[in-house]
Amino acid sequence: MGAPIALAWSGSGARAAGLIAALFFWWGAGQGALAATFVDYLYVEANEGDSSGGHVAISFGNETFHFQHESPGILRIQRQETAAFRHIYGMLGNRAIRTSRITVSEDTYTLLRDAFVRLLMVQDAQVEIRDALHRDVALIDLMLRQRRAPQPNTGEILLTLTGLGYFLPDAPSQLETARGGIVKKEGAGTVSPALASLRDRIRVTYGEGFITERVTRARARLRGMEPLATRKPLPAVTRDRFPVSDAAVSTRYEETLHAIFALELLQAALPLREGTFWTPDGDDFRLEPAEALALKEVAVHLENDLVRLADSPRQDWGIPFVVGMARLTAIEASLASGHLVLLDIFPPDDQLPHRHDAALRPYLPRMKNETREVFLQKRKQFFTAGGFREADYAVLERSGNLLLNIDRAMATGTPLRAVPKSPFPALAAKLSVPQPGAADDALLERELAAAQTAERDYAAALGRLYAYNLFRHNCVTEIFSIINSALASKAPGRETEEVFPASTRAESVRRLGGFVDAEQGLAFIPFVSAGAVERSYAVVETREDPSCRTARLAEMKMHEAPLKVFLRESNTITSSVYRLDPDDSDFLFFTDDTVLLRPLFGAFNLLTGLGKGLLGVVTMPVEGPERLVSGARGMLFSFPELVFVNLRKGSMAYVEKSAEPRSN
Amino acid sequence: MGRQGGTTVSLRRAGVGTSPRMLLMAGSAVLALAVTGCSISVSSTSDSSSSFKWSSESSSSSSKSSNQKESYQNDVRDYTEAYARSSNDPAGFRSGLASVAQKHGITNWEADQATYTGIGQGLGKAQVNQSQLEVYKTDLAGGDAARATAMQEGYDQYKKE
Repeated sequence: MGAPIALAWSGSGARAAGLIAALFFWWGAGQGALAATFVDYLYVEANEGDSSGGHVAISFGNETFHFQHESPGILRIQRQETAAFRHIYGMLGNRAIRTSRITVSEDTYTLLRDAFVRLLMVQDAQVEIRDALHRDVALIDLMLRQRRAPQPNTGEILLTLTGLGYFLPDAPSQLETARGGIVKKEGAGTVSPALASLRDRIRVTYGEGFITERVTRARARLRGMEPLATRKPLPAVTRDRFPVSDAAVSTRYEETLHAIFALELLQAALPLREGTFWTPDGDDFRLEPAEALALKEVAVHLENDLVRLADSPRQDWGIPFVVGMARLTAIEASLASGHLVLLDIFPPDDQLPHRHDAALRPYLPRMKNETREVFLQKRKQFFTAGGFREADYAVLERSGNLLLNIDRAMATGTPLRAVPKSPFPALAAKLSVPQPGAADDALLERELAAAQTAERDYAAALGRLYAYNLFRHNCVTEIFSIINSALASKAPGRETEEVFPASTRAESVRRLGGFVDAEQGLAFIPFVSAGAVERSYAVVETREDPSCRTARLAEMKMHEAPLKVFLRESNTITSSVYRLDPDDSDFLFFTDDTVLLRPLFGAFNLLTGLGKGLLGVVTMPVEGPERLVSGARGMLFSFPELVFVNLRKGSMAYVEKSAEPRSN
Repeated sequence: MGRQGGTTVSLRRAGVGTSPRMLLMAGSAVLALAVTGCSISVSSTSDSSSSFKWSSESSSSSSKSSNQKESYQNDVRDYTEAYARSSNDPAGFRSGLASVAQKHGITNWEADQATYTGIGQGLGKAQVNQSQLEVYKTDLAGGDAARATAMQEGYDQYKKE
C-alpha cells in the first residue's frame, strides 16, 4: 500500500506544468533535495446513518478538517487528529476512505492550513458567544422566576457550578453555603493536610489576611454586579474576523462565585467528598517507590502553581484553582495509600442507554485490554517525563478513568458510563448562591427581553453565515470555498465581482495544479468531488483504505476458502465480523461486496425492513415508534440496492486500534 | 493500488456524468444527503446517539507528550494570531486563551511555559510590532522573566524582518 498509483493528467498546459512541479517536489523529497508537503483530500464512502451520502475531509498531516451539520442548522468546522478521524469513519463507521494526495509547496500548505484554522478559531469563538448569550437568558430568567415564586424570596438561586462537586454535595437547602462559609457546614475535624499546607503557604506568601480580603472583595463584586445583558454591540459575525466581546453577565457571575467558593474551600481545607474519586488497588495502579517520589515532586510543583494562581489577574481563576485543589488532594491520597488515586471525571448518572451498553458488552474484555495498554503507556510517560505539566497529568487521569470505568462495568455489571465531554475533571454541584446585585422585577424583565433579543439576533446571524444547504453549502462546498478564498487572497485583481475570477483560477492552477469549484455541477456530492480533485489537482497518489468489514474479510480469505467466507459473512445472522449495531436498521444481507447479487439481496433487505416496519406498527402503542422507524429506514436504504447501488454497510460498536489494517 | 477488496467505485474509471450507474449513485447520494445532511457518523464529542461508540478517543492515545505539547502550543499560536489581527486590546485575550487551553486539558494555562511561547509565536505570525509585543508581555507575563523570554523567543521565530 502507499505506492503512487494514479496520476491525474489533463491536456491543459498550465495543469500539466503544475503536475510537473508537483512531481519535481515529490521526487526532490525522495532525494532529500526539497521538502515536499502534502495535503490529503479524503472521500469517505456512503453508509447508513449520519452523512449517509458520503463525507469528505481535508488533512494536513496529523490534523483533519471537515464540516458537520450541527443543530440548529449550521455547518460547523471540526478538527480531529487524522488517526482518530480514520478510526471513526473507516473502522467504527465501516466505510472505505479514498485518499487523494496533493503535493504543494510549503507556502501553499501554510496558506491553506491557516485558512482552515482561522475559520475554526473564529467559529468556535462565535459559538461561545452564542452559548454565553444563552446562559445570560437562562440566568436572568431563573432570577425572575425565583422572585415570582410563592415561597419567600431568599435572594438566592440554585445554580450548577462546575468542579465544586468534588468537595460539596448538591445543597439546595444549605442556603448559607456561599454567604456564611463552608467551614461551619462541614464541621471541623475533616481537613485535608495537603490543602491546609497550601492555605498556610498562601498566607505566608501573600499575608495572613489575604484569603479573607479576597473573599470580601469577591462578595462585594457580586453585590455590585448588575444583571445587565449586553450593553455594547456584539461583534459582527464574519468568517474571517475573530470576534472580541466583553464577558457575558452569566460568565462574570459564575467566575465570581467560583472565586468565592475556591477561597472558602481553601480556608476550610476540605477533603474530597466520598464517591468522587477512584481508589483502585490493582497492580496497574500500585506506586513503585521511585514513582511515589516522583509524585511527591508533582505535588510540590502543583502546590507552587496554585500559590501563584491564587494571586492571578485572571477573572476565571476559580475553576482551575478548585480543580488543582482536588487533584492535590487526590495525590495526597495516592501517597498515603501507595496506589494512584484519581478524581472520577465521569458525570454522575451518565450511563449509556441499555441498548448501547448491551451492544458493547461482548467487547468488554478487548476494550479493557486496549484501554489498559494505553493507561500503562501514559503512566510510564508521566513518571519518566520529570517536572509537572497539567496536560500530562490530565492524560494520565483520563486514561485511568477510562480503564476503571470498564473494570467496574465488568465487575459489577453496571452499565458503562459515557466518555466525558469535559477535558478536565468537572464534577458539578448544584448550590444555593446569592443573586448578583440588587435588581427589581422591572429591571429583570427588561434585561431578559434584551438578552433574548441579543441571543436570537446573534444565533440568526450565525445561521445566515453558516447555513446548511444541500446544494450550495454542505461538507464538500465549504472545503473548496475555503481553499479558493485562501487562493483568492493571493491572486491579483480581486476587485472583480466574480466570486472566483480568472486570477483565482490561475492561482489555483499554479499552486494546486488545477481548480475545483464545488458549487458548479454535481461536485457538491462527495464522491463526485473526489473525482474532480483527482482530475483537476496535482494528485500524485491515490489510496483506498477498505472499510473495517472489507479488510477483515480479505484477511479471512487468506486463510479460509473464499466461498466459505462469503457464505458465512454475507449476512447479518451468521457473520462473525458484524454484530447488529443499535444504530443500524435491520437488514439481512451485506451488499457492498457483491454487485451481481445486489438486487436480489436488496429485495430480501427490503422485505426485512418491511417486516420490521409492520411489526413496529403493531408494537407501537407499547414500545413506541422506534421499531417502525428502524423498519422504514431499512426499507429506504434497500431501494438503491435494487438498482445495483449500495449505501448501507453496517457499522461497528467497537473496533480496537490494533485490529486496524496498516496504512501509511 | 493498495486495495484490499470491496467493490468501491473507482472514480476515474467511472467517468462521472456518463454512466447510468453513476447517475443512480449520484441520485442516491443526493437523496441520502438530503435525508441526513453532513453530520458526523460517530464522535466522542458528538451529542448524537452514536456517541457511545467506543475507542474513538483511544485513537489518539499513542500521541507522545511532546506532540501534545506542540499541538497545544500551535493552538495558542493560532488563537493569538487570530486575536491579534482583530483586536489591539490584550484585556479580552485571556478568556479565549482559557478556552483554547481547556481543550487540551489545561485549566491553569499560566503555569505552562508552552503558553507563552505560543503567544509570542502568534504575535510574531500576526506581525505585530515590538512595542505591541511589550504590551502583551507586561499584561500576561506579570513580571516573570522566564515567561517574557518565552514570548520573545516565540515572537522572534515568526516575525519577519
